[in-house]
Parts: sequence; structure tokens; C-alpha cells
Amino acid sequence: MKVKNYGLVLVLLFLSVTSSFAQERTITGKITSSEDGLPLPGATVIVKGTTRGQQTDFDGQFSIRASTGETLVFSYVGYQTIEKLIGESSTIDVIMTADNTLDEVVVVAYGNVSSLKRSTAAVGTVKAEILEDRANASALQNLQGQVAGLNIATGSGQPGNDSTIILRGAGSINGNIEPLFIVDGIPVDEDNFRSINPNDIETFSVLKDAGAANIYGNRAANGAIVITTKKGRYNESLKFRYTTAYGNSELQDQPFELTNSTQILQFQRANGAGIGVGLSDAEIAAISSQANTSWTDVFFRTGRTQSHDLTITSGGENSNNFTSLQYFNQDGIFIGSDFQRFSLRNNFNGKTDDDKFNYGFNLSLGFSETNELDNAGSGATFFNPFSAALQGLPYLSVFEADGSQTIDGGITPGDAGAILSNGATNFPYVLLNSIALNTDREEEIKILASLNASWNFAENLYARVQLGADLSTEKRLEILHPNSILGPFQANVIGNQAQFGGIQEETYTRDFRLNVVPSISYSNVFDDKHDVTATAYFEYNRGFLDGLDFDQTGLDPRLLGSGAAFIPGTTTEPNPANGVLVNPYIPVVNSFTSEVGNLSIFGTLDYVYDGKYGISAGIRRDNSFRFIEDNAWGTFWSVAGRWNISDETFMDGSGFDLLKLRASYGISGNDRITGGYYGGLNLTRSLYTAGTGYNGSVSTVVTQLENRTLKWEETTQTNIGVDFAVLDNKLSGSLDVYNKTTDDLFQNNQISLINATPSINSNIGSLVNEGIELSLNYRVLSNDNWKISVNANGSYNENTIEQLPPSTNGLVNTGGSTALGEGQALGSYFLVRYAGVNPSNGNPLFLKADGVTLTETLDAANDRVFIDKSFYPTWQGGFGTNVEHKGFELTTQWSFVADVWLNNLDYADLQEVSVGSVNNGRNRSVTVFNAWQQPGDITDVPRVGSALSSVNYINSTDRYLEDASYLRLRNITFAYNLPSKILENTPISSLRLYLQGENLLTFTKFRGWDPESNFRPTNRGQFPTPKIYTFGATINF
Amino acid sequence: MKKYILKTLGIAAIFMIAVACEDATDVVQEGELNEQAAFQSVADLQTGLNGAYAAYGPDFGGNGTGDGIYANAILSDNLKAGQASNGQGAQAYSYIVNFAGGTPSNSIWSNRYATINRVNRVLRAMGNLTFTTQSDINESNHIKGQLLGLRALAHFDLFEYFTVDYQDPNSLAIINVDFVPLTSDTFERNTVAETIAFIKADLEEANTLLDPSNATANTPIFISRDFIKAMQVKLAVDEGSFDAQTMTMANQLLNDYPLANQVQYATMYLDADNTEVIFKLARVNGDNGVGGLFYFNQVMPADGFLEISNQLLNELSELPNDIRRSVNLAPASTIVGLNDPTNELLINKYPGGAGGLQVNDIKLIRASEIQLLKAEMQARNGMLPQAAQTVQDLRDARTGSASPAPNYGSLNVALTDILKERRKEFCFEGKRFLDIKRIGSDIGLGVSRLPADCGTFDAPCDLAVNDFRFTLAIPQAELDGNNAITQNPGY
Repeated sequence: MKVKNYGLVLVLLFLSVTSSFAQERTITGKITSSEDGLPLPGATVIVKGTTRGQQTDFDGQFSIRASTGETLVFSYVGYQTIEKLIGESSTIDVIMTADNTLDEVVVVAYGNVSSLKRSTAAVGTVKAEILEDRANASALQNLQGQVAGLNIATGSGQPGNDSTIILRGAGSINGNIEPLFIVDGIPVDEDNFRSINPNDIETFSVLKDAGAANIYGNRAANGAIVITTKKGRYNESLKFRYTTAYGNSELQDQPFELTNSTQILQFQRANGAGIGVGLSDAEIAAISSQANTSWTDVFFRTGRTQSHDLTITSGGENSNNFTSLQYFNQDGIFIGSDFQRFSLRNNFNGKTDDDKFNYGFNLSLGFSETNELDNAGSGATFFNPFSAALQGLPYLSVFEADGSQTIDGGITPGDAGAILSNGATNFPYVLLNSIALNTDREEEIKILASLNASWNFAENLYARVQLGADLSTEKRLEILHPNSILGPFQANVIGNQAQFGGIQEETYTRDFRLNVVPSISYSNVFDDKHDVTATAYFEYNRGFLDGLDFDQTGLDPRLLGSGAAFIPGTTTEPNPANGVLVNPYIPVVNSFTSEVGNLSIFGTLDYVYDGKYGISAGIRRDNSFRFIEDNAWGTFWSVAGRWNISDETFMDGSGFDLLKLRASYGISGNDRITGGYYGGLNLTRSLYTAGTGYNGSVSTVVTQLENRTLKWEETTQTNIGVDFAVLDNKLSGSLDVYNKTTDDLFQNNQISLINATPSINSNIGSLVNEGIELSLNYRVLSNDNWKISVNANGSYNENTIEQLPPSTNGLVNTGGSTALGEGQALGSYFLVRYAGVNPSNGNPLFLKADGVTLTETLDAANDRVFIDKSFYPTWQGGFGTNVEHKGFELTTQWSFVADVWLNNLDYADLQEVSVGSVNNGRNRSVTVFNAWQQPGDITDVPRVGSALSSVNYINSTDRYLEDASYLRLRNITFAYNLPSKILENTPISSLRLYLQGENLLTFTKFRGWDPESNFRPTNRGQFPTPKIYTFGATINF
Repeated sequence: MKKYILKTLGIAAIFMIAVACEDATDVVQEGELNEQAAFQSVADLQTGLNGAYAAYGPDFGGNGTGDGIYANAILSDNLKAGQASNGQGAQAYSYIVNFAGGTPSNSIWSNRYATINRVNRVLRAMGNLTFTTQSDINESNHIKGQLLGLRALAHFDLFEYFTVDYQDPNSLAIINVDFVPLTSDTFERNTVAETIAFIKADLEEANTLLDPSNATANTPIFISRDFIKAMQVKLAVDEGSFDAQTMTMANQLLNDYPLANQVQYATMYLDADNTEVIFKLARVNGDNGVGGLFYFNQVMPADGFLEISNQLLNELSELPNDIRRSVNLAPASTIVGLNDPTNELLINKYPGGAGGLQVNDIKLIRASEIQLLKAEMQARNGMLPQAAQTVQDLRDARTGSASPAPNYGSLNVALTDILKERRKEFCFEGKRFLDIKRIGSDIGLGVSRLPADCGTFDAPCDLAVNDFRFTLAIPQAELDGNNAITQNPGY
């Protein structure tokens, strides 16, 4: 199904007038598509040089008054515009050719549309059509590698997991760094897309520069991503479309080798610790033949994916409708992880006969349920299941005596000795048991509703209003089963001595966001050449977050799942230590509420001269509740201009089908001091709170020190870009260079600890992102038999912290592996350089800060240096190919990031040889056999029993800092469209079958399951991104 | 035209209504509490005091970080790595210079100044209130007395950790803070003389304000006049003034708080006996569990990431039937042999109690400390036989029978013996590192660990007497936020 945008048509219609001239006659005709010969309803016909225009009906027919000698311009979004001179004939039939590269519709701020030719802004557009077959639960994941400068980093294989999105580099140190997300005009929670059906989306527009995004002012300092959903069309018959997909997902390849039972027992024997000590070869062989478990295979599995989508579209004279339903279900590749979603959307549009009043109402309901695994990244032995999958010892059998798979390894619940013995060797059983018995579920209901209306209440004057609401309610339920191994440890005070174990935690949150934007606009064309539009807006934003949660310790296993299982808090039991009666089952309850608000007034002015030159300017005043007095209001503005050089007469015959120069400059603001939408709510006030005081009393303590001078963080962005098309539009693309400087950064200004806190939020310092972006599309071949095209995009972004708070002397290092340093990129590692193993004694060697002196002493306080490596990439992009031949399609999409670094704690743990660690209950990489043994050994693994542990290396040295650059085949799709002949006598109008794979190939140097991370400094026990294969079919009828 | 105007006005009206939506920007969150509203009555001030007490945490920390109790153990010779160790404390144990977040220097400095800040805020609020009834006046005075006592305690701790030489009046000590600071200000450290005078003044004023008839005076979990007296003795010894007045105070305290017998002593660590407790920090359910400094979960095999050093065990084993060996060494320990690397020596000083598996009261000042300070004063005043007797009295109480009398031939011998006795008496109570710093420098002793102990971390065994690291560094966070301050020498 072709995706067509109606917005442009509506805009053009506003320009039409009804007066005609005497000598005109009626010209009729039909517009069809060259691709399938089907009529094109809703295409626009305009008499060139006038504002007389019309659109085709559902049969593609038009009828327009025009005179001989005039030219008719036929246009349709996504098709090449055609001009026909009116001669003698009163009938003009037109066949339009699809054109995916030129004059695409560009969605700009506040629901307005422009075209690629007319837009002054740096905007990257992705038509969701090309993403529709993909199998990711979250729509955003599909965007990775599609738009130059946009990085979607998920870093988790949990289906539906939130992604971190960065556009043109991270623009703040502590404030929000993600772009603003707009769905059908409503600003929405950027961290929550799992309940939105990806197939409802028609386009993603990525607004990059100040010219594009500034209009969203206070929330778009990091750019904006404007999502429009599908709509019906006027004068369209009722149509159904059904899509289904089914598939599997699995773990990526493992680029390291673990020791087997024999090897790890030999390692233990050789180093005098663990059960391997004193065993003969025969005894080791006997154990190894009993068990050689791959815990990776135990915890990971092949997941299933299935989805069903039904859409219904229809349109009458004055209204049209789009309805969609979806069921989506995807298992994670890790046991205990799955996701399902049911979604419903209805988009309705209506208008008056005279087109003076238009309105649209979009409503989306999503329900999702996520079963997930907490503690990815955690160092808590008994709680991070991913570490157990990686590091479980192979000589532990996963089978019961009867051959079935164990869920407890024979460990009695509450038996601390069995859990802790031999360096907590049995921890994989504990995790297996917890996953089998416990519950960790999130259920979410998300409602997005938006109403927009436009009224052409007087000549050239329009009043518009946009109302939007985003409501998310989430219920999170975690039950630690009283009969699980860890169940008996949960009671307060007396732990595993209590009669009842287990813990149930439930959290309910409701997040409601409201947005109202009335506007009034004047639009006119003077002397055929001066096209002016001026608009004034007012914006009102509120957000309300409410919630409550409780933790109940002590559950009756017979009644689990409801409140009936809760052991009353009044229950007493004697403390075995001293016989005193205590209350082990007192629940902890909490309730919270926060609200936010913004108020803005702003105006825009667009001026186009002769189609060739365009200027857009915007200015706005924003008030944030986060700031007080003079700092509350911020003034932000932008100017953008374009020059369509290819339209100049001197460019005739130049070979350029389009050459447009763009430039923009502007300032936008950020008030999200601490990043979160509901963060930093009252930092201008010193506050006290009541809490738990000494000896179980109530206390009153200060919780926050005021900073009355807080103000907007300001981002100034300059962008210069070129859009071009050559070789008869075969090759087209854009090139942009930008400088994005953030001033008055929200930073923790260090203050003396005698203030009882090390820092307060302040506006200090600046940060620069500079870069270049290139997008290219090339239609290699386009004829009746073959369509071959390739596309590529890439960006380079250099991030530099220019100024930190003076108190820091240009360096903020809180002891972790990364630090903030003036002149350094955000996310830069600040570590002591590891220099290998001393051949004479097997101790690790390090470089002193001077870079010359070798030392065996790890002096983390003095020898750390910036090593020009950051966990934010400087290079990123993607490329793809599309080949179509006689109904067959083959599409590939690759993405890459480069010059990005990640501290690999997983691999460090697999090479753990520090003193006392041999019997730490964890498996090793076979490389531990390379450990230094005698003077003269040249190796990269220090002696077994050396001082530093994996965590020491990670926190203070670059020994495990690895290049996490990767090139990944994000998607490959092979599809077949059945020839229409076969379907002729069926109710089916078209049928498409496809096979697709996500993440099938990854090229990286990183020694872990997955190099992709969501910009974190260290990888430990994370949920890797899976490979997903699906088979699907799309049926139109 | 008229129609036009109406429409325009109509739309303008919509704008006007919209502009009136000021509620979007005057957002005050539910539950915001400012200082004036927070403190309005004596009862409110009491809650402020409760918060100040709660802030003070020499027992805070866990999993390889910690305050005073942890710092004194990890930086001295009472620990070795435990069976469950993943390297917790390895860097501090190796004396690798680090004063960033999470290090003892940062933990102690920020905890004490946070306590002081809470004290000063309540004092400031108190200054803005006027009480008329006598009972309110008495109660608020008693609260103020406790606040000042707590402020003195926090300054005293800082003084001991961050001052190089307690007896050089002109050298740098710590920042004396009797005000609520402004975030924009910076501060240099006061001198030793100024800090000592400051602490003394607080103690003296507290003494006059504390009400001996108040209900809290009957329990050692609150600051009382006896606490003040004990602090005055401790400060005097640090200061080097071993005068008659100090000795009198020590004797008064010992008269009121006799040394515990063996049963009382053992019961004291189960939080059920207060015979010799002059002041302890109450820890109840929900509070920080001090056991977390050494164990992941509780006192049990394979759970301790830090264990008793072989050296300390050997000393605890010297006297037969010494209750301190069984109090400190958990029955579940495994002793394979003398200094055997596979010995699992589980710390039992904090076995958990009514507050939870890791939660115990922190016995901060006990009669035995006064007893040993008295012995030290006697020795330093040349009364060596009397000093020996004072030490022997303590040993007799701990062993339950007459132990051999020590013979102090010189001050050096006396101090060496007193230092050793303090080690046995106060191990894991936050004193050992400071003891070696203060007494060790007089007798030429630093840290000297057994290879069987330091080998568990592959760490250096020794820290020489008078090494600069015996005085903690001013933490990096303070240097970052306060450019007026001077770092200690050597760092």
C-alpha cells in the first residue's frame, strides 16, 4: 500500500480561490500510477501561476476550469510532478511516476508540512513504510542507522526496552540529552514507546537544526523527532489490510571461549583452591563426564515472535478514517523475559464542504505486558541472571537424578551455607530458581489522544488549535517467591529465621501530560512572488505524575498472588538471637506526586520569494516553573534561510536537478536540569523533610540546598547544509555541517562538604558538539523489470567540554572509570594505562602519569590520564540496498558506530586471577591458562594471586577498555508480491510474503555478547541484543 | 467588516483565557517544607536532634567502603581478606593513596560535617524561637546540650583523623563550624589550638545545659553529662594534659561505670548489658547494619569478605580464658593451624541483634577506654606501677581470674603494653588506626602485619611509624568545592 500524505494537499487547498474567468473551459482527466496502473485519488491539480486547484476523487478523476495556453501542474506526494500545457483537447490523462527521493514531504514543527524543495531546515525523514516488516517491539529501534546524526542505542535484548536517543551528540552533562518526541502534534514521553504500534507510524521526521527544532523551544534543545501516524483519505472505498508475522530470536555469536569442566578443575588444582584441589586426572575426568554444563545454553533460549495487524481505512466526501488493531508477542532470548502488546488506534479527519474548517482526532490505546529480569549490570551475585549465564561453573549439573532440568540444584530454600559455599559456586542455581518462581512484570496502559482543528475564518487568516494528552499508567509487580531459595531471607530483622519468607512489591504510577496550542496565522501571496506566512502561538503544558507502592515482606505461599497472602504486620515472632518479640512482616508503603508546567508564547514568520528564496524565523518566550523571578522566562529564537540555486537561470544545463543551500542559526533552551521530565522540581528552594531518626524516632532534616540563580541551559546551533540531486534525480542527498554549543550547563558545582552535600545544581560551563552529516540516495536502475537503489548516511560528531565549574580545576572525577575534563569529550575514560605483565614476577605494570615510567603500583589518585576514548561514538551511520525485480524485493540495512569504547567487566571477570579469587565460584575464559607462571614468561595475563581484581582493573585502568565499534546488519528482508493476475478473481487485491532478519551479522572487536550499549561506561552482565528472524504476509482486500 | 471584528475578538479572547493559565508556572510540589515551617515547637526541635544523632555514623558503610570503624580496621593490622572476598578494601588495605568518593577520608569527613550541619541548623532554628514555660525552656536547653555535645563529638573525630600533630597548637586542624554555611563560601582549616578550644567550649556549654533529671539521662544512648566528662578526658589525653583534674574525672567515671565482668561483657555485644557503657549509638531495625562492613549477609562461613587477622587472633589467644577471644571470634570459624592461610576467622563483634542480622548498637565510649586512658596518663606521669595495676585490673575482668601482673620498666614498655591492650579491647570498634597513629608515634611503632595476613590481599605488610598516611587526606570533594583549604602534607 502506498503511503500518501494528505497534509500538503490541505495546505495547498487553503491557497485556492473560487473566482474564475470567462474564457475558461472545463478540462477533465484521470491520474494513474505508473507502478500499478491504479488511479491516484487525492492528487493535486493546479493551474500553474494561479491558485486555482483541485484534487482528484477516489477514481483519480479531476475536473478543472482552465484556458488554452495555461499549464496544469499535477502533483502528488511521493511522485514526480508533471506539467501539461493545455491545448485543444479537453481531456488530459496523466500517468505519474513514483519518486522516492524528490520533493518528499517534510513534516516540520507544529504539524505543518513543507517539501524538500521549500524547507529551510535540516530535517531527516524516514518513511515508516520501509520499516514495516521489522520485528522490533519498539518503533524507535527500527530507526538506528537510518538518519545521519541520529543514534538510537538500546543496549538491551529485553523486548520493548527503552532506547537512549542522541541527535548530534550529547548536548548536556546532567540535563536531558534526548530529543523531544512529538506524535501527531503531542509531545510524548521519550522513554516510552513499547505500547505504541510501530506499524501505525507513517513518517519519522528528525528535526536537527535550530531552524527546524527551535519552534519547540524549551523542549527541543536536543532536536525533535516528529512522528505522524497513518490516516485515511477522502473519497476512498473501504479497504482492509492484514499483516501477520511469525519468527524466532536467538543469541548472537559468542566471541570468546570458556573453560570446560576439565579445564576449570585443572585450573583450580594448579592454583590450590576449590574442589579441584587434590583431584587426580581420573577424578577430574569423572566429574567432567558427569557434567559439562553450558550455563549460557541453560539461560538463553530461542524466543518466539508473532504479530497480527489489521487496518481499516475509508473515506467519504467530508470525512475519512483509519483504524488499526495489533497484537504483538515476543519472547526475549533469556528465560523469563517476554513482551506482549495489544494496540488500537483510530484517526479521524473531517472538513466542511468549503474546506474552511478541518479537524482531526487521533486516539491510540495501547496495552503492554512485559516480563523482565532486573539487575542487568548489577554486581549482586544472586540477583544478576546474565552474569550467571556467562559465569556459571560447567561442572555443576543442571539435571536432576531423573534427567529433568533442575530448578534448585538440590538447595533447600534458606540454606545460606549451601548458597555461599565455595565462593557462592551455586549462584546459577539460585538465579535459575528465582526466574522459575519469581514474578517481575510491568503492565502498562497508554493512551494518546490529540485533536487538531483549523478554521479559515477570514480571507488569508487561519485559527488553529491543537490539544493533546498522553496518559500512561503502569503497574509493576515483583514477587520474590517465599518458596524460592532466596525466599526465606526476606523478612525484616530476623531474615531466614522467620516463619514466612518472600516479598511482594507493587508500584502503580500514573503519568498524565497535557498540551494545548492555539495559534492564529496569516498567509498570503503578493504579486505572485512574495509568499508570506506569519503565525502566533500560545502553548500550555502540564504534567502530573502520581503513584504509590508497597513492599510486603512475609507471604503465605498457599495464597500467593493476592493480598490474602500478606502476613499481617502485627504478627510477632521471637528474635532467635535474644528471644525478644519482633515484628518481621511490617510492610513499607509510599505515595508520591509531582507536577510540572510550562507556558510559552511564540511566533513564526515564513517568507518565500519567487519560490527560490525562503526565510523562516521564529521567536519565543518560555516560562519554566523550575526557575524563579527573572530567570523563569527565557527568550529563544532562530533564523533559517534557503536559496534554491538550481532554480536560477544561470544554472540551466548545469546538471543539477536540485541544488539548495540552507543556513540556520538559533538558540533554544532546556529546563530539565536533572534530565528527567519530573526531575529537579524545586531546586530553587531549601527544603526539609521528616524521616527516620535516631533510635526509631521521627527526624526533621534538610534535604536540599537552594540555588536561587538557576536558569535555562541554552543551546546555540549553527547549521549550513546543501540538498542536491543530479543525474536526472538518480543521485540525491544532503550534506550538513553544524556547531551546537550548550552554555550555562546544568552541572554539579562542587561546594565545601561542610554544607553536608558535595555539590549543588548550578548553571556553569559549556559544551560543544561539532559535526558533519552526509546522506546519499542513488537509484542505480529503475525500469519495468528492475529497481535497484542504494542509500547511505554517516555522521561525524566531535564533542568537547569547553568549561567546567571553576571549583573543579577542569576535572571532575568521582572515582569511576570516566571523568569530565575540560577539552575532553563527554564520557571520556580517565584511567591509569595498563602496560602488560612484568615478565620477572608476573605482576601487572602500569604507566605513571608521565607516560614513561613503569610501575607495579596502581596509583589511581595520581596516574589517571585522559586517553581520548569515550563511550559516546564519534562516527555513526548506516547504509542499505533495495533491489526489486518482478515482484521480488531484497532490502538490506546496515548500521555502524565507530570510535566508541566500552569497559568490559564481563571479560575481566572471565580473566580474574587476583589473590583469593581462584575459588570464587565463577567460570573463566580459557585465556587464564596464559597467566604468568615463571620468570621470563611473556604474557598478557598477570600471575594467579596478583593483587588486583577485575573491578580494580575496570575502575582504575584501561586494561579492559575495549573498542566497541561495530558494523551490524540491522535488517535484511526478502519479499515477494504475488502478481495481480493470480489474485484477479479473489477478493484479495494484493498479497505480499516476506522473510526478514534483524541483527544477523555483527562485526566488532569487542569481546562480549553484544557491543551495543546505551552509552554506559561499563558492561557487566547485560542482556544482549538478539538476532530475530520472522516470516510474514501482508494481505490487502 | 463587523463579522471580521467579532471573529478576531473571539480568537483574541481565547488567547486571553489561555494567557491566564499561570498555574502552569507557579508549581509548588506537595509536601515542600521550609525551615520556618519545619521547626515551630520544642517537639520539632527534638525531631531535629533525632536527625542530627541519626547522621552521625562511625559504623556506616559496607561492601568495601566505610567510616571510622571500617577505616580503623582496614588501615591497620586487625583484618585479612575473607573467603568471600572479591577484593573489598584491597586498595585501602594496600595504603594506595586515594581520597576520592568512597574512601575512608571522604566518608569520615563528609559524615562528620553532615552531622555538624544538621546540628547547626537546629541551633539556628532554635535561636528564632522563644519559649515561655519552664518545662519548654528546660527541654529546649537539654536538646541544645545534646546538640552541642554531638557537635563536639563530630569535631573531635575530625580532629583525630585529619590533624597531623594533636599537640602542635599552631598547625592546621579542621574547619570549626558553628554556623550554617553559605554554599558560595570557602573555608580554611583552623589551628589545633583553635579547634581544641572550640571543642572544649562546646563541651562546657553542653554540660551546663544538659538536664540530669531528664528522662534521657538514664540511658547511655543519649548524650549526658557523663558523655561530656568522657569526651573531656579523651580530649585532654590527645592534648597531652594529664593533670589531676582529668584524672579525677576519669576516676569519677570509673566509679560510676565499673568494668563489666565476663558475662556482662559478652552480653554487652548482644546489646543487652550496659554495665560499662558510657555512651552508645542505638541501632534499631531499618538502621545501617554494622555487620555489612565485613559480611555480605550475616556472620556465617563463606560470607565474610573481611576476617580477623591471624596476628590479632594470636594476641587474643595469649591469655587463657580471655572473654575477648570468644566475643570477637565467631564459633563457626575454622582454625586449621597457627597462621594457616586457610584459617577462616569470622568476626563476631557484631553478631546482629534485635534490629536485624547485621544490626548492633555501637558502643562508642566504654569504661574500659577510660580505664586504659587512666593507665596511659599514669604511665605518662611516671606512675608506672600504678599504670601496670590499672591495666591488670582490666585483664582480670576480661579473663575472670588474676592474670600475671605486667611489669613496666619504662614508659616505652608501658605504652607498648597499653597499645596492645587497647588493640584487644577495642578491635573493630574504630580505634586501632588512631591508636597506632597517636601512641605508636611515641614508641616507634607503625603497622606491621603478619605475611599470612597481608598476603591475602597481596598487599604491603608495613606502614612505617609517622608515615604521612597516618593522617587522612582532606578528601578530593572538599578540595574541589573549597579552594581555600590546605591539604595535609604528603598527599
